[in-house]
Parts: sequence; C-alpha cells; structure tokens
Amino acid sequence: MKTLRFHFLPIILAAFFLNGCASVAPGSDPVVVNAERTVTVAADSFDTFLKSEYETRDALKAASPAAYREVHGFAEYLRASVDDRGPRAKQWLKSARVLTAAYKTNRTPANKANLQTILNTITAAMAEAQKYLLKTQAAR
Amino acid sequence: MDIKSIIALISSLVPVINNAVGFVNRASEALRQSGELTTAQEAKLDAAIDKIDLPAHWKSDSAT
Repeated sequence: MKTLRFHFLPIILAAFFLNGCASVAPGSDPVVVNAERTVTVAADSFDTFLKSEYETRDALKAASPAAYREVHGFAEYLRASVDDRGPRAKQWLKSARVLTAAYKTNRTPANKANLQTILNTITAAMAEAQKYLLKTQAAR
Repeated sequence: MDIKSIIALISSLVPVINNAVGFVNRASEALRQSGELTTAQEAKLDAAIDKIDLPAHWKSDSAT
C-alpha cells in the first residue's frame, strides 16, 4: 500500500528540481523569472508540507516518535513567528517578493546577490520540506 | 487482497492523490511561466502570500 503511495511522489520531487531548468522567454530577465517561479512553487510546497504534517501528526507520532519529533520540529521552524511578523516561511516569501521588486527597479549586482541569497534559503527549505513531506505521506 | 482491503486502499489514497495532483498542477503552471509576471499576476501572488498563514496548519504550537 505504501509503495503505491510513493509512485507519484517522484513527480513532486521532479517539479521542485525542474524549477531551475525551465526556459525563459526572450526579453525576460532570467533572474526575475526564476525568482517568481521559485516563490510560486515554494508557497505551494510549504503549504502542502505544513498541511500534510498537520493532518498526519498523530499517526506519525504513534508510528514513530523519533520521526514525529524531526518532522514536527521542522514544521514548527517554518511556522515560528519571526519578530512578531508572522511565520518564518511566510517572511521568506515576502522578503523574496520585496527583493525581486528592488532588483526590478535597480538591476545591480548587489540587488541580484541579495535576491539570490533569500532564494537559496527558500530553495534549501523546500528541499527539507520535500524530505519531510515523504515521511508525512508514509504515515497516512 | 479482498474487496474491503481494496476499498480501504482506494479511500486512503484519494486525499493523498488529490494533494499531489493539485500540487503538481500548480507547480507545472509555475514552470510554464517563461516570462516575468504581469502586474495582475504579481498582485495575485502577493495576495496569496499575504493570506497563506490563515489556515490552522500554519499555526505554531507556541501560538495556541
């Protein structure tokens, strides 16, 4: 049963990692397109992971307390409020949007580097979320 | 595998598949984006981010 559940999960993985490989229309700035794609996919992947963790936490806790602590710990890291401005993951997404706008206004190497830094953080968190999403799916 | 097991299997798979299909569809849509977002698309993305933490699954244990 669990094997069947995992059949479509590589598709999700592929969607994450193809994100950086998709084509860019002539005349568009690849930096901006990549930033907008990353934020769009990240918003969905964070939401999907947190929803799955929320729905399966009891089952996961019963099946494997160690896995629960690991998965729930990461979910809580994403949910934790930063400086009372809301969840960390949301703040990353908002920061990426602000830095994308700053880059579009002034396409300097410094603004590009700032944008790339937050995108790297988001991409790394997406990879973690994907890893833990598999564990929550297995607990269903 | 008897019929009850098959029904149980299908029932348990439905929400998982729905989640995965919905996610993949949205990810595919993002990947099809080859140009910069229009102003309207940007507004839609920003609005989605603004309200992303409204559902219960975004609430931290420490906030409850």
